[in-house]
Order: sequence, then C-alpha cells, then structure tokens
Amino acid sequence: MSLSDAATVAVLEQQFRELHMLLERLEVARCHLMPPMGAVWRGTARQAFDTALAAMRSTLDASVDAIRLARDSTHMALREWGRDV
Amino acid sequence: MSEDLTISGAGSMAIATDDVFTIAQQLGELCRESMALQGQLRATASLCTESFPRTAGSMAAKWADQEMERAGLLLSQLEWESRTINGTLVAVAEGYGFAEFAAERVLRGVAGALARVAEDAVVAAVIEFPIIAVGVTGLVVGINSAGGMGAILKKFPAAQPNSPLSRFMRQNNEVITNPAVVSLVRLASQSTSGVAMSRAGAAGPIASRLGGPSSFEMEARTITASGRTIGLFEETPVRLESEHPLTTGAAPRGFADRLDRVPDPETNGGAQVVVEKYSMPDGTDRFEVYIAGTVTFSPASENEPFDMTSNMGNAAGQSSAAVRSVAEAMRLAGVDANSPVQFTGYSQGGGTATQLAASGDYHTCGVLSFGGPTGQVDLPDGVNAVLVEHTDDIVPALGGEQDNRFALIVQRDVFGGVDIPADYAVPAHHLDAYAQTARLMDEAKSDQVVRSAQKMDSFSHGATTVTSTAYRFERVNPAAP
Repeated sequence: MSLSDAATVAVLEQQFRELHMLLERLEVARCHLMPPMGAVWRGTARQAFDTALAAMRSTLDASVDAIRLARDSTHMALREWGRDV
Repeated sequence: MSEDLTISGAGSMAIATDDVFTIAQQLGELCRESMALQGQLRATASLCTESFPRTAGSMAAKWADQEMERAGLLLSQLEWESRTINGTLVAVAEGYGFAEFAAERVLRGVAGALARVAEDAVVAAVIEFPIIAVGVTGLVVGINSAGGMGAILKKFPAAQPNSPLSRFMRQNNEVITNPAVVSLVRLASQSTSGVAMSRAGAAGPIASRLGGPSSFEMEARTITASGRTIGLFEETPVRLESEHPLTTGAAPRGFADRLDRVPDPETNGGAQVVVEKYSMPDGTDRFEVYIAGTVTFSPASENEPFDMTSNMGNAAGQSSAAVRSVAEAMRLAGVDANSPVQFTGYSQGGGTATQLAASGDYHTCGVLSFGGPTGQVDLPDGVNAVLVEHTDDIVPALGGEQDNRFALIVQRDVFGGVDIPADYAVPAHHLDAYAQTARLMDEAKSDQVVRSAQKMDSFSHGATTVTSTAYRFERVNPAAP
C-alpha cells in the first residue's frame, strides 16, 4: 500500500468510527427522547399531536437510516482499499 | 383512580400534567441533540471532502458522501420539528395557565360583588326587621346559658361519629368530592373574605404585604369572633404533655418518605409533632419538622390543640394553638432563628407549616404541604415550597385561591372517573390518597418536581447523625367544660 493509500484508509477509518458513534447517539436519542404516542390529551388535540409526533419519528428514522447507509458505504469503500474494520 | 399530576406555579404561568412537561423536556433535549449531531456530522463530512480527491473513483465513498448530506438535512428537519412541537406544548401550557388565571380573577370579582350584595341584604333585613336582631341576641344568650355551643354539641347525637348524620355524610360524599363543588367552595372562601376588607376600604393583598391582615384573614377573624360569642373557637395556652425519642435510620428521601414521617396521633399516643435533627459534618444542625393534621373537628376547644379552633386561628393568621405547639417543639429540639429548617405537614399540619414558614421567625429552606389550606398564606418567594392539593378535596379549598405563584403546586383529581368509596366523609382528603399522590410525585419526571425533590433531599445530605423526637401537646384550661 502506497503512502497516499495509507492516508486515504486512515481518513476513511476515522470517518467510519465517527459515523458509527453518531449512529449510536442517534439510536439512543430515538430510544429515550422520542415521546410516546397517545400520552397526552384527548380527541382532536391528541390526533394532531400524535400526527406531529409520527412525522417527527419518521424524520428520525430516516436520519438513522441515512447515517447507517453512510457508515456502511464507508465500510464498503474501506474494503475496496483492502481494509476491513 | 386518576394518576395524572397537574403541575403549576414555580414562578411560571404554565399549567400542565407531569406527562406534558416531561414530553416538552424530552423534545427540548431531542432538539439540542439533533443540533449537536449536525455539528458532528459536518466535521465528519469534512473528512470525506478531504479524502475525496483520492476516493473519487470509489462508488461506495460517493454514496457515503451523499448519505451524510441527506442525514444533515434530515437532522436539520428533526431539529425544526422537535422545536416546533416543544414550542407548541409550552405555549399551550402557558396559554392554559394564563386563561385560568384570567378566569379566576373575573370570577373573584363577580363572586365578591355577589357577596357584598348578600351582606347588604342581611344588614338591610336587620335594620328593617329589628325582631331578627332580637332573635339572634336571644339565641346567643340561650346558648351561653346552656354552657356554650361546645356543651350543646356534646349532647347533640348528630355530632357523634356514628350518628345517622355522619353516616349520611359518608354515603353522600360525592357532592363535596366533586371538583366543581370544590372550586366553588374555594371561590366562596375567597370572595366572602373580600367583603370584610372592602368595607375597611383596603385591598387584601396590599394590606397583607404591608404587614396587616389580608381580607381572607379578616373574614376568618370575624367568624372566630362570632363563634366566641357562643363559646366556640376559644384560644388557650398550650403545654407539653409528653415527648419521646423515635428510632430513625436516615434522613428522608423523596415526598412519600416525608409524608410517612408525619405523626398520626391516633396510633402513636397522641404526638402531633416530630422533629428530626441532622448533625452536619461542619458541626451545624439542621431540622425537619413533621406536623399532624386536625385531630378533632369539634369547634369547641377541649384538650386537643390540633382542632377546629386552630384551623380558624391559622386562617385568621393568628397564633393558633397548633402553631404555638410546633414552635415550642422546635424550641425544645434546639431550633433557633438561624437553624436551617424544613417543614412537612398534612391537612392542618400543612397550614401550620406554611404559617411558621411565613412568620419569618425561622430560617425556612423548604415547605411541603399535603392537603393544607395554604392558599392565602403569603410564603416567602425564596422558600422551596411544594403545595399538594387534590382538586376533589374540599379542605385545601377552604384556604381560598392558591396565590403562592412561586411555590410548586401539584394537583390530582383522585376520584376522577371512578366510584367514590363511602368509607369517609371527605375521601379525597384521606391520608392514603395523599400518600398515593406522594408516590406518584416520586415517580414524576418533569423538571419542576424532580428539582424540588432534589432540593429537599439535599437539605440533609451528608448528615452524620439523625435523631428524631415526637412531641405531644395539650391545651391548658380549655374553655369547654
């Protein structure tokens, strides 16, 4: 492996580690900071609140998926350079 | 039984359940976390940019770059959504609190006006029909010649605990356990008191701030003075009847533990006050004082200082026998004006605790009242005060509107949506109901409740020794035979 390849691999490895850490933090947030549905109010207010929460959960899920894909793609790139983490 | 806690006060206009405040906190935290993650993601993405010239040929590296960009946008959207929902929740809670405050002010004005009209009607009737005044005077003379109202009540079977009247009260307790009725009683307690002060030409709160009696206190003083004409509400000195040490393991933790330490005179030989002393590592002493509720509801003073006369004395802002008993217990325990002290009281004990805290005679750090008539006791702003009231309990309502906006107010509708048991005349005031509320408070997650609990617990944190003493007091020379 050339010096330039080694530097690229080092950067990709750091990118992989940081994305993995980000993913863990976001999953913890999804587990502990996402309010439960149907916890407050009744009737229309509850419906509106739950709809807003559902939209937010969907955004959070999509964020988790995007970071996971970024991490996995970084992993694939590392394998292209002959490295596995 | 409802397990929802409604939280208000603590210097905010917001009113909402513990669940709503907890969700608002979660959303606030999620908003902050999504901002922090965006920053971190930007730093990570800059690595990608740095390595891009070397990884340009890699599809995988390109996908990683694209997904990071997408994640950044999504996290930004998450920040906006969590901020918006959080803002809406807070606005709703504050709007509700403001609407309730405004409605309460309007109702106070209307009810005060009605009370003044009613009083004018009574005065006019007495002037127009002097026979009424003669009749009332005759009644007072008759009652006093029979040994006062206290002696009459003793002979009156309906006043006994197992009388048909008492049974009727227990079996039909749904009326006074109705939150709407409780609200009306609170309003009535507040509004009739406005009459006395308006006659005197002064506004109650202003008078109170200037050190004079509030309108609520004036009304209680009027009732007490009227009662005394027929032998009721006679104040007496108090004396220590007995004191004994209690075994205690550690300083209290949480609300339920504190309520559990409030003495029950029916089961502990009559002790109404418990004082715990904590010796701190710096050589100073701190104290927690636990005060029992009303022991007898007789309006005629007998031996028991924790009676209706003390309830009226507390409402009138005067030095009731209960207040003097607790003050004496504190003196005996070694409390002086500079000793840090926290109070916990149930029912009358809550009212007594707030009276002592408001007196300015002690270095009060905290007050915890369960079901106490505390609304019109002017607590100092700096005290960590937690006032617990059931919305279907008539007793705190007798204390008038809750005007301590800097205290944390915790409310619960105990029998909301369920059948009311016929075991007690005022079931929502029962100690067991407040014990359940205290347990729910210990489980609560809203910042307001958690912070207050932590402040109370930190009071005795690090205490090297804990001693506890129970005190029983009696009235001296009771007026009733």
